[in-house]
Amino acid sequence: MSAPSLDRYADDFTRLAALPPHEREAALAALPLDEGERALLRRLLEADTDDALDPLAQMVAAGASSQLAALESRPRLGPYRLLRELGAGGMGTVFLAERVEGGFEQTVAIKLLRGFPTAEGLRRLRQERQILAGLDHPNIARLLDGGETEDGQPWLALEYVDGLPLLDHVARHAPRLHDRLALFDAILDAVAQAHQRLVIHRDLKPANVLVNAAGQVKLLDFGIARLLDLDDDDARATSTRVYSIGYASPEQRDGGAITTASDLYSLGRLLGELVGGTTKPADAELAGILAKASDDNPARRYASAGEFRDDLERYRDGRPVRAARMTRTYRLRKFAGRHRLGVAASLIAILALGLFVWRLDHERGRAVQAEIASMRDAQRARAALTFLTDAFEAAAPENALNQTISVRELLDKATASIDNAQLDPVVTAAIQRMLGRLYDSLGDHEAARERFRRGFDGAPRPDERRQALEVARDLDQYANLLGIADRNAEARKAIDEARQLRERFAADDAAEQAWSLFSLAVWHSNAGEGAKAESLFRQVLDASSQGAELPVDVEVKAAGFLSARLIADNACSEAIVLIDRGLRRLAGNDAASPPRLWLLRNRASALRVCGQPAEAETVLRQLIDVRLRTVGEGGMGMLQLTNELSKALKDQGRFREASALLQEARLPEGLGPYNRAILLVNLANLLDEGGDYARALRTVGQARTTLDEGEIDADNDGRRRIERIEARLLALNGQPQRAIAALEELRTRAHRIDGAESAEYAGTILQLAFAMRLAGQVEGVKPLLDEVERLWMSKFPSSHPDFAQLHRARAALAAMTGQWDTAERELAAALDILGEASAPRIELATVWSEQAGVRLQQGRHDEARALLQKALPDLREAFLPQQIVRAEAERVAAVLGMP
Amino acid sequence: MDDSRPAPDITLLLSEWRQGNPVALDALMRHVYATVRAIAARSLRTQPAATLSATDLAHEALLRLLGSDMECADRHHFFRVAAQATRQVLIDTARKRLAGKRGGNPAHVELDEAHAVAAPESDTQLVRLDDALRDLAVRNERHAQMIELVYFGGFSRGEVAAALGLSDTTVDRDLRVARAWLKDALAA
Repeated sequence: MSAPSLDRYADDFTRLAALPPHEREAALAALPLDEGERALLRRLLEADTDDALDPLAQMVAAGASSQLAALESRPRLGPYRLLRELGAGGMGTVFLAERVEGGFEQTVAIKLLRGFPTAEGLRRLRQERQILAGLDHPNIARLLDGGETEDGQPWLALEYVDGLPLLDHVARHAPRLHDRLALFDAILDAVAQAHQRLVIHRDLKPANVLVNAAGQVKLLDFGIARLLDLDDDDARATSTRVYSIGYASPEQRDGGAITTASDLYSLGRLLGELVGGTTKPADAELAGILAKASDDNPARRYASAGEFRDDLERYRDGRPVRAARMTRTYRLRKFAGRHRLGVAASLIAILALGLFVWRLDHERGRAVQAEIASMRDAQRARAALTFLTDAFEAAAPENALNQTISVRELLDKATASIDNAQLDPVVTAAIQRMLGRLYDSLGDHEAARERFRRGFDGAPRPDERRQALEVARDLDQYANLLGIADRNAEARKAIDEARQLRERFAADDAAEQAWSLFSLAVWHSNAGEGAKAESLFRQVLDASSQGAELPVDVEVKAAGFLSARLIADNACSEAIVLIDRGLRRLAGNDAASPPRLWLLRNRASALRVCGQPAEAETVLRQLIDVRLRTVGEGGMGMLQLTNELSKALKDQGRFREASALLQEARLPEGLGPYNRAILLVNLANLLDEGGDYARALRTVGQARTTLDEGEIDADNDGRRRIERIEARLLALNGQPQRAIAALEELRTRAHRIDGAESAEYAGTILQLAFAMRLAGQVEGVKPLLDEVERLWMSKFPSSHPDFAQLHRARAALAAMTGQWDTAERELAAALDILGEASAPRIELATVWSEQAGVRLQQGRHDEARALLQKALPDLREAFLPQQIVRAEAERVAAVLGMP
Repeated sequence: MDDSRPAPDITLLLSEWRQGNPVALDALMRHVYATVRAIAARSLRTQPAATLSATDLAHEALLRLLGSDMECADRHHFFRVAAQATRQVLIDTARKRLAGKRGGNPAHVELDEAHAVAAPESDTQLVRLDDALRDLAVRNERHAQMIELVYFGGFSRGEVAAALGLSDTTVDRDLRVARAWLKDALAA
């Protein structure tokens, strides 16, 4: 029902109001209105008084005043007036309040803390308040003020935040993951600052994180929880009272010490709730971040809010996050640390973890992660890292804690995975190469070769310098491995490819060029072209002397290889000089580091060649021991040591020990024909020494066949040495003529290839003289022996033990022509030399027995017997009955009637 | 509420409101509400007089929030908002107190009781005034607005005329009628 508008009456009202009162009634009656309306108008006219005090105004004023008075009389806390209650919680009651003094208005939240602390407690509380008040961050609700009520109840004035709790906010507005992370980033920024000032929140939970109308996130109650405990001595450091189940860290729940890490735990839980449902279930990285942040073990969480923040930033940018790696490699480290082979093994374990790749290559060594991270494409880097950590983790499951994990298993797992992984080809190639390096460092050349092959086959060509040089180094390493397996043509290809890369990307870099020289030198060495190898190694070392900054291992390797060549050439002093130079460059290294061991092995060789086999034996046994402890049995390195040890034993006359050692040696798989042949020849040598000529001949025949199967070039150093020994053994096995023929031919080749001054030539004609003597062809022997003497004299001093051998040869020659005095003289000279050189007893015994033979011929039987008495035990110990020296000694003994 | 907003926001809100955005009005009201209350509290301290007119409140609120650079049209608009807000503040508080909502603070209860004698009377009056104004608004919205502007906003006759786009004479006449009507209604 519509009431009539007053407008209708307005004009009438105004007119009538202007009339004197006694005239109004008449005027009213005259209006065409109904009774009701007339009554209203009458009333209005009556109400229309010009009051001195406008009653309406008065009503409003009175109302306003009383309300304001009530407002004024509301409870005050310091400069604040409480307006209404906002809520109550475990800490106390919260009020909305206004600031009334100071000339500015401010709406705050006042927290009235429960409890009435002691004076001491209040004092501590005030102190703490000072600290909290110092937190000034846009995302932290500021502590503005504080005090105590008349009764001594503490209160705090905090910035009032009008907003929704975080999770309600996201429920309502449903922001995307990216925006949620941005919110969280602000939280972390705030927490980081607070932590820097050593303020721990202690009660981070969604209810304490508000988002205001402007979308700004604000953390409430920072550090407030602690204030409650400040009055309680016992509870000060720990708190069991104030925490929210579900967000409190385990240490909080257990009543343990609360640190910044506890806050991080809560933040981790918070983040989990914040992003729950917005990410794909398979987002391993985010899961990793969450897991790390809220790890039960405080030591495993992020070390700081800043670190947490950085990792989230990485996640947002698509870069590799630390979380995944750290949780997994932490576990791996636990396993690898229990590697059964001890301290040095941890080095290998670390290798397997990929923390750095070490393979005579420590200068290049950089963390695999760093290597991967340096891949230009962050996406690829992350894929590579994820692959590796997944593979390693799969090999080290949680429940295998009590088992020792073999490094080998880790690698094998990764290897198995990579072949099936669907990764970017660039990433796959890099990983394959890395696995190759790792296998090589373990000594598994076969596996290493295979990984390298896959890493190079069909891989995209590197197109920038750093990558190109890395690929070049890997190619060199691959070439070396191929060389070990005698796949020399393939090796050469790899070397050439590496060289081309270096020429293209680093033409002016002397150190890089030295790498190529070095690689080629090793290749030549493997191919049996010793002279060429030596020349190249010398070039490499010269480059270093001329100032090129060679990596340590290039220099060390060059020194090592060159010294090996020199040793083979009997230039042992020079070899030792080079070796010591290399060892000096390795000065800072771990005592058991591979290159150090390698050089020491060469040093042992040099010692042996220089006539100190006993010292060499000591060093070698130590090296073998170290190797057993670090890498285990088997492998090329062990074989080389064993080989060398057998030579040292042989030089001491302990032939049977030596041959036993060799026969028991484990041949590594994938050992190429050349190396196998060398081993066989060494064995043949030992058998020869011991007098097992038949077997020795068979063995050396095997060596030669092996070489032939490997299609080794006929002029190859090793092959010729084998032929030489074979010839000798033919002579010893009753076929001196064949021996002579073979040796004549070898002599010609030695003359052509190595030169008339070479040790090779000297050695060949020495054997020829021997064969001729056995064949009874005495005329040709003397000139040969003279030639040998001349050649040896130019190489080493006359006191060298090998000269004794020469004297013996001359004595044998003299005996054939009945020149006993000459023979006696020569044998005496031999003894002098051996005595001076502290030769092993067996060598002395040999000479004594030969002296006995001469005495017999001279009729000096007693002397002969005396000599044989000294000699026979040693001879019988060292030699088989048919060994020529022993056989002759036995014959003389029989003639003399000795047992 | 945060009363740290600067004037420009008000201008924007006002212009939004004039363009018909109801949300802007809401925001404006909240601003003014807070300001009015703050001013009231401060004013009581500085003004010794026991009575404080709503006009004073509104004026102060205006000054505070708008500064002096505002356009006329905006000022008028603001006055209307301020008047409305002032009315709302007073009436809301009166109703709450009458309904016994004290927010659960024992201290409040005590103090309210201390002032219990005075409060209910003036509160009741305010509420009755408000009810009457609402009735008036039903009959004649313009009249009600004028009352609000004069008694809660402190507008002068000329300002009312300008704010509503009417002549002074009309305003005079309408106010007179409206006043009479209200008095009559309140006397009953």
